[in-house]
Amino acid sequence: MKALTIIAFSEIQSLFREKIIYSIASVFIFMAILSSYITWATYSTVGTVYSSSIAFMHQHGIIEIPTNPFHQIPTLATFDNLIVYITLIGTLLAIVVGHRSMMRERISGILQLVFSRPILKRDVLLGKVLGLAIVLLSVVILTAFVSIVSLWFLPLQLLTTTDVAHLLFFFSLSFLYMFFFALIGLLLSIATKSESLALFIPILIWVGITFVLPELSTGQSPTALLNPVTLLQVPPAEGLFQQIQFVVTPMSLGWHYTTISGEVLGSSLTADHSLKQILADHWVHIITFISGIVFTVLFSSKYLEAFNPQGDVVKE
Amino acid sequence: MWLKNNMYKIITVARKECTDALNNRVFIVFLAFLILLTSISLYVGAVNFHVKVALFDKTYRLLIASGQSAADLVRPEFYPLQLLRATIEYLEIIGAVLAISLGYLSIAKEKGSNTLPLIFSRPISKRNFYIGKLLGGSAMLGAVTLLVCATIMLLLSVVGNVSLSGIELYKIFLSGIATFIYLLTFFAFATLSTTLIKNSSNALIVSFVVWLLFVLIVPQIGDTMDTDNQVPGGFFNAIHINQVDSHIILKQFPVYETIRTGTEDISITKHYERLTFALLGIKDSYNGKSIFYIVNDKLVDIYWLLLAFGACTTWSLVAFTRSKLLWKRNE
Repeated sequence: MKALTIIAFSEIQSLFREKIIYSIASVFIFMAILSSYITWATYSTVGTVYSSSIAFMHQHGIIEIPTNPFHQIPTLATFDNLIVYITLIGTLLAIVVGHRSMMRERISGILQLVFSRPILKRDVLLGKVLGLAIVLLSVVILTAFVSIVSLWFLPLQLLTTTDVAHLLFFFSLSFLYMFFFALIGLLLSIATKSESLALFIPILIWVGITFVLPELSTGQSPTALLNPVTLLQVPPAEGLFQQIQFVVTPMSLGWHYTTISGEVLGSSLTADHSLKQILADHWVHIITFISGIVFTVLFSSKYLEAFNPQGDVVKE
Repeated sequence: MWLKNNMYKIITVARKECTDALNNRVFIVFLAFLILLTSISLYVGAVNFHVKVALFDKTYRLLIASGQSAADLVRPEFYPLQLLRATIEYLEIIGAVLAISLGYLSIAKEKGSNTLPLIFSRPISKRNFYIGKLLGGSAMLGAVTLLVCATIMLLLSVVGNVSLSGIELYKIFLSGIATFIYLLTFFAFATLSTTLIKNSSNALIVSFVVWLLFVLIVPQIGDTMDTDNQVPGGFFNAIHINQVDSHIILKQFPVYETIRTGTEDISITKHYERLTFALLGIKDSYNGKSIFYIVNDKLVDIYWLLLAFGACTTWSLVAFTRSKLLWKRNE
């Protein structure tokens, strides 16, 4: 237990010393602040555009004025863009954090030194996993903090207790999602002998989870999730496609993350946004997230047990 | 004379570059992934089109059976090149990653193996060496583009039973050229960052961060700020205002619109997308328009694409000729 804590602490210290991690985390937090402003600016402009459109209709003698289709903006809608930035930058940051965690020590030869001491490989892994979790959790908490603070500067409604509960759920889910990718980065940095391959493969997995699986699950175009209005497209009901969907949908973590987050923040088109209902609808997907994390840790443990630090040479 | 003296050296480096790429697992895996995604995206596009037609037929039958008029229903028109929307999106994303991997590996292997001092002890300049690398990378990315185009044509004609007209083939060819320039820009950028940054992991990570910003985030910000994008089916459509009138209304918001379009304009991906979507008729308003009209209308995007390519290539050439080309741990 003592070894585990020391390794976790050392991991946190090392990761926070890396300039590249600081840089990506800064970009991520900056985008979190920017996203609130962008959403607010867009919503305000849409309101003014609607007023201008009514004036335009009056000028052209149109009597039947349609109601504003954008009249009810959910309080948490300012966090909508954050879903996209977590899916894009947050996960990249997580992959880099996971990758650097093990690769740094393999390249410098520290891992050989660590394993020359009477320490269990399992403790090393769990210490690193704990360290990664704390680092990512700090980033998520900081992001949540700056996002909520930036809300105060924007003239939108104040947060209610329900909103706070929804935000807590959203940021917890975001942490789980990022943590999964950090573990993928960690796993590949143990399992591969090439430094570049240890980064390229997680990126491929990320592209698969973020773009390919959602396309196969829903029939939407790959970048559909980047659109502010995600259409709930009716999945094509063709024979082979249905079978593909049956296999692919449970694994489509990116799709589940954006769907659940959209519902939690109240921006999706579903009527019932209560946390109870969301949990009832998506408990299988949340278990899939947790299973993904557990499996990745187990695989990492398996690879680390087989890892021979003597003569470990990392290629480009 | 310069060409005569140096061509052999440049081609030798380029040939070595191609052999190395073909022996590299990363490149082969990315290429296979890209071809697989091209096939998947065409399949999903075709299924979606069948669903639209089936929905039309069902609605038509229901209206007729209930004795109502079906005159307002518009049957979905089939434009085969519109099926390439997802393929273009994958080329934007995975194609760029493939180009980055090729560019990174091209420089990283030299910096890592410490072979450069030996190479430069021979009568070859850094400039020619880099031009050779760029030529090799161009050959590989040209082959990738050709392979993707061949897959598209094969799937459309053999599996989809679609016979493409001469104009459609020409449009695919022009889109292929745009794709080639787009990929080569990312290749040049990756060689630049790998040359300048002294830590191999960081060089790759910086390339990915830039890729993420320009390929996915900046275009997303532009889309998010688009007022018409805020409601499913379009904001102006929902309040029954046509496209011409919507432009008149939006002219009252010059600052907002300038910021929005300016944000989109800094992304090379957006220019590539605008050009290819217009050429392939993925954007409906360009369907049925002549190639001359489309190219003329998209000249700004072509210039931006060429500018980004020129800037990345020149900068990477200058950086390569002036850099020490060593990783920090090898210094």
